[in-house]
Amino acid sequence: MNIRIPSFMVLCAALGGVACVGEPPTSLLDKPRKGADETVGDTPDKQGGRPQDTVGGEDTTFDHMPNLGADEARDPLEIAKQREEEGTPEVRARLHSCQKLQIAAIRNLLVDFGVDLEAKAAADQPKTAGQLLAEGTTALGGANYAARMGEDLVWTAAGAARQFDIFVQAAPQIIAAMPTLPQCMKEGATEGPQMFEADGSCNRDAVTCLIGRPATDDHLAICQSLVASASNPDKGKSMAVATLLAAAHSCE
Amino acid sequence: MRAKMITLLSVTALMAACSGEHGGQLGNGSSDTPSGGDDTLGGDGRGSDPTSTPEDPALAARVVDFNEALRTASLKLTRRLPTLAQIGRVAEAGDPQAAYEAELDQMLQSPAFSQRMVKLWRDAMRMGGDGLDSAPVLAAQLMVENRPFTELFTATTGNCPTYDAETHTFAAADCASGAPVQAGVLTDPAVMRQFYGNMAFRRVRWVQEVFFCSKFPAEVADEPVEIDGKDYTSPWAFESIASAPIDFQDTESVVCANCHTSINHLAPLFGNFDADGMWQAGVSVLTPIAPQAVPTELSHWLQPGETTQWRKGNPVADLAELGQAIAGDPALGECMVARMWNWALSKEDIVTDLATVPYGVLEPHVVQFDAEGDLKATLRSIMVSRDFVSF
Repeated sequence: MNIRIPSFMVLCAALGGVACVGEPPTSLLDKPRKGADETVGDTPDKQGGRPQDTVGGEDTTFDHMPNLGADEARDPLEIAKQREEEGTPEVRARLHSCQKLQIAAIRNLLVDFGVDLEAKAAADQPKTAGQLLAEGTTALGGANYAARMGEDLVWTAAGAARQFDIFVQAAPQIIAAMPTLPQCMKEGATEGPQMFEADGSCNRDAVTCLIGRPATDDHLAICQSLVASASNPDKGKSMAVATLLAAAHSCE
Repeated sequence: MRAKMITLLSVTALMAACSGEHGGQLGNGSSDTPSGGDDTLGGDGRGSDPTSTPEDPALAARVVDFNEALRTASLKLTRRLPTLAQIGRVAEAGDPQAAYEAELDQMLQSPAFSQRMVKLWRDAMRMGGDGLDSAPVLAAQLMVENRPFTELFTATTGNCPTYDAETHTFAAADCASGAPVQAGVLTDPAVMRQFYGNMAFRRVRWVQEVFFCSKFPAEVADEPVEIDGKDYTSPWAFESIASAPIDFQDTESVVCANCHTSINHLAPLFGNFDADGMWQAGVSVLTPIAPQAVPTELSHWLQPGETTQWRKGNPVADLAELGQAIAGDPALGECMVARMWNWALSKEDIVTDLATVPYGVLEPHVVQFDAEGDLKATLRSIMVSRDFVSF
């Protein structure tokens, strides 16, 4: 030990600015890394984490917003319950969860599928997909930076329903445009598939293009089933397209 | 009738989505697993090392699916679905992993990625539009240009860049707050305007929550001390903070000092920015006392003789020194990597939703970030990890 310490110091001096491994921390900035089981972020049992912990009474100035913005605070105990259902910390961290599509992504998706977002419906007709999208920013969880709130990360029921309504209204245009969409053309092709074959069956490449991953037999079976169960083929086709889109893209 | 049908179909759609997203019958794992769906990726070595801990059944049940990964990465990075040609290139590749990574690299170089990063940081920083884009744009620019991400706190020039969404180009610009030193977003007048509040506390909180992924209290002593029958958990001297005109040593409702020892040693650094985010010669925030708020003085935050510090034991005399201290704090890298992880794996927010991540999961990526300082490279390493490509 008597030998090692001076040697260590000489080495440190020789290395100049290079940090020496094993050197005792001189400040908090030299603090060791966390252990593998420690978490990055606050756990639900953190002191002062409950919404009521930041709210004072009439006799005190102590009254703080629970979050940086105007977003509603969640009860950590409720979050803890949710996390417990999701699994161990490692499992829930390593599995994909579900973030909603960004509003811009919905817009891009519709444009890439040939939907005219500028189209306006007649007064006595249901609103177009573009109108539903433009007027649905709040339901779809759009950002409100004036209130220091970013775009929502996950769906609300209203947002998911709005997205489905948009897809329903967009479906006829998507079906019509499918063969002309660069989005849905195979490598080197100059024409895309028809959404539905002449016999009314769903085209595999078209379904693949809609859902963004190779369509399986199960996808095609669901598509067929939706077409067949509708009151007429055209409605069935629209519902099939809207349902495939909503199902495939409920999460990023 | 229409509404009823839509409701019914929505339920069908969502059920289908749930099974499809997580290894049910749709999309993967079924009798006709999509091309690219194998489990040969080396990843973290689990399953091949006989000495390793057996993997949790929920994790072991996943299958690697590069086409599913392509779809998720495409929506994340470009906010567009992959084209049929892209899907085909991965699905029909002899080496689907290499094909996926080639597509990933193209997306990371695309103009859409730049735009997406601006939006990502707008949401994370809770600011954007209406003259409030410079800080998110700086973070996006650092990522897009593979620059050290710590420049977010240390840049002395070019710290208020602009982004042209039409040409997808960044243009360097200096912040013009009038502050005597420059330190990345810490001297950005838009940040100071957006997070203006009593005694500059909201600005301190912004730094803590956005870049350190946790709310206050930020510092905890090894052993709590009992004060007035309550636990005082901060490592700072209890009496180091002011007791008038606001009594931060109050213990009646909660122990204010548990948080305010850290906060009050930082807030004076931000106090000279006024409500418009412009630096003034004197303190330009207010102390909220009845019947009327008064201009804050240094003594409202700290006891005489106390100095501003980034955590206990790290004195910082000005915002430039604060920026250097933040850039050197290992917890910054942990938080930034955790934010990238949570975004890639579609988690909720790490602060408001307590979407914590065990350090062991992040460790290889944190080590890479520490070595390279390049958050885009870290994001790429996450998106080629076994966890990201497994469903």
